[in-house]
Amino acid sequence: MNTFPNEENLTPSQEEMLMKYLDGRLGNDETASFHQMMMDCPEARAWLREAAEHAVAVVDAHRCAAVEQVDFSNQESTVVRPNSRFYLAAIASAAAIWMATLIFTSMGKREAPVRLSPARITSAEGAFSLLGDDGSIRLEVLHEDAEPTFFEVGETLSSQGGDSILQFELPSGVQFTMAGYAELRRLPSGSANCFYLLTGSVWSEPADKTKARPLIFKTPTAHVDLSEDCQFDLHAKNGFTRLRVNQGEARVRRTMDGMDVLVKAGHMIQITPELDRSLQSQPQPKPVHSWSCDQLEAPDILLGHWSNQWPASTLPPYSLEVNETFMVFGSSTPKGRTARRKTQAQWGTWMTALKQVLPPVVLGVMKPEPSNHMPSVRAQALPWRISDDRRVLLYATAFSVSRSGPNPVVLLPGSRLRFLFSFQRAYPIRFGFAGQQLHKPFEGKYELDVLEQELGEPGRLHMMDIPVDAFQSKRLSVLGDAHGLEVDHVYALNLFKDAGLVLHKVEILGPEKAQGGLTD
Amino acid sequence: MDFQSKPETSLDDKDHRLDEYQIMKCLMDWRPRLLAAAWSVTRDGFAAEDIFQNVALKSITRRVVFRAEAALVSWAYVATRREGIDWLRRNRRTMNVMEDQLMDIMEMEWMQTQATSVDHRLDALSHCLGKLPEKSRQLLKWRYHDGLSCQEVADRLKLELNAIYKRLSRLHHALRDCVSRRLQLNSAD
Repeated sequence: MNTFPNEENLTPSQEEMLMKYLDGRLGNDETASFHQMMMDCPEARAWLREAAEHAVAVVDAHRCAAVEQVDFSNQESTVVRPNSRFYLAAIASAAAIWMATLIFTSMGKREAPVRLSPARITSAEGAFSLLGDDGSIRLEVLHEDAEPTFFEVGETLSSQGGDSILQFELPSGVQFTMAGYAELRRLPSGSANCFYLLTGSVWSEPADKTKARPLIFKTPTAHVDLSEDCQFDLHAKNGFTRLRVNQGEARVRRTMDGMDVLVKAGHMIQITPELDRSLQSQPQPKPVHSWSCDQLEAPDILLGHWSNQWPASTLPPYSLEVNETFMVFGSSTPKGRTARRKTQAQWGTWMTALKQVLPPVVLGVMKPEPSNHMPSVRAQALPWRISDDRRVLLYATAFSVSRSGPNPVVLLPGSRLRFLFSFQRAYPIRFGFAGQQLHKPFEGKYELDVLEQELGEPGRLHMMDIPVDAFQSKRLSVLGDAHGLEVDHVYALNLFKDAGLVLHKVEILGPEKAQGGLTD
Repeated sequence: MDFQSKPETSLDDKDHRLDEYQIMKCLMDWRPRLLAAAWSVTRDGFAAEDIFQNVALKSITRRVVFRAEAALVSWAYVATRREGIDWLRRNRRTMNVMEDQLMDIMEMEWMQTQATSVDHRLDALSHCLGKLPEKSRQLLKWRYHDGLSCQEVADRLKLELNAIYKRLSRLHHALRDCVSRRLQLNSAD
């Protein structure tokens, strides 16, 4: 059975790019477009996989032929199939190396590396790697290791999951939280602790009696000097750096032109790859409680591909024609969490009893139906590590809320998340958001799974209003609700299968707007 | 469907610890794909074989147990990729390397085919390689077995680089079609 997509869809220029990649001749300017093509085009990935299989089959065939020629000259009566001969040779050589390694490893243990002011990893949830200073993997999946783990100078912490959260502590007691996809390296820098945040977010939490020892954080576009008693959060991605200081102060230097500025408590600074902006610290703006992303103005689509690249206009005024209202119940553990709808007969009773506790999720159809040229973002394939040796593919879209405007968007009791979406195949959808307590470290992710029965008809445009109370924390250690959280990003995804999920609009509605009705 | 159910994979998911024999057997079943994964990083057939053997070795000396074949295969793909990148670094090869996320997707898609069908594909591929004209086989040998670059092959044949790209591309298409036909024939039998 051939399970590959139809590669006839590849254009000659795409095939040429694939050949160039295999030949190691992709220019710097072509690398990005190659990567984009591979991410977007399953046919290209199938082509590359098959070409790799062909290549190793050619190597095997010639190598086996050479072995057979030698064997036939010595022992003409021996007839062995090329594959089985090779398998035997491979097993024999692997066994020999294995024995040699066992002997070698039994001769003595490796000496522990020299530790200079080690940082201790205090907790880890999700999938992480700790890379040695030579790039080798020193440790994987920290949460399975009972032994204390140290983060040494020269080493790199890399998280491989959007739901990963890791905390480490310096000897002075200052704690750092690293969450989501992130990569952080400890750099040697005299007596100061120095880190390089390539991508992701880091939150600091000084100890009660932390001394004001110097601390340095670098990102691809900024150099930040602060002290260990400073409470801040730092975010870096694609040349963008944002620092918010809540306690203490920091001096930030833009690496492109060397301009520097002092950021005091309650202030923030943003550095973008464009040099035309003057560098200045500004007071952290007041929180707001509603947010809207119509895809045309979203500054940062974190996950997903534009499925319409010719948006002619913004969305017209629309309203929600309600066709379903159902309750969402979650178990106390993430494992058993599913969304279940009550039948119509049960609805009234449940509605009365639980109306005050758990507002209903509302599913409807958008009126009027929008044109086909509506801007939209289609879910992209994303590998997700759920343990050290278990990965699944998910198909996700995500939008950055924190980067779409200067004001933090904070959830309140009664807030709702509204998703305008469509899908091609009926399949469960997971809706979620990530957030942090305002001026405090990262809190985690909150999610809600909605089963296919709840989703309505495939191919149509649906709108779902989900009360913030219906979402549950993914972290077992976080039992509270999401009230007061500043939303970092919002997402929707399919696990395991591509159901053609497309997001057209996401909104966060404050309590007053959420209560005001379902029309926009 | 429950979101928390395990990924739909054709691999056995027995709740017991795989012993060394089972580990080796599983890895040998998956050898063609793991080799191909290693090759897609190093683009060197001999390095790919070395990497596969190293991974096999690690799998039986690693202190973490594998409770299911799916877990072993998934781990093996990741280990293969890392060995491949280490090999590039050790040999100071400056090649375009796919980003981690893309490699993850490629590996996941690779894993969606059953090991038994891997065997059939390999047999069909061996057969199809044998059916190619001598000149085509020579071209593939130079490129993939001898490790010549496309430019070096073009110089030998006194052709333009693009012509080699097109020929190789056509050969891959022909092999794919042949494998597909052969698998269909086998399934009809």
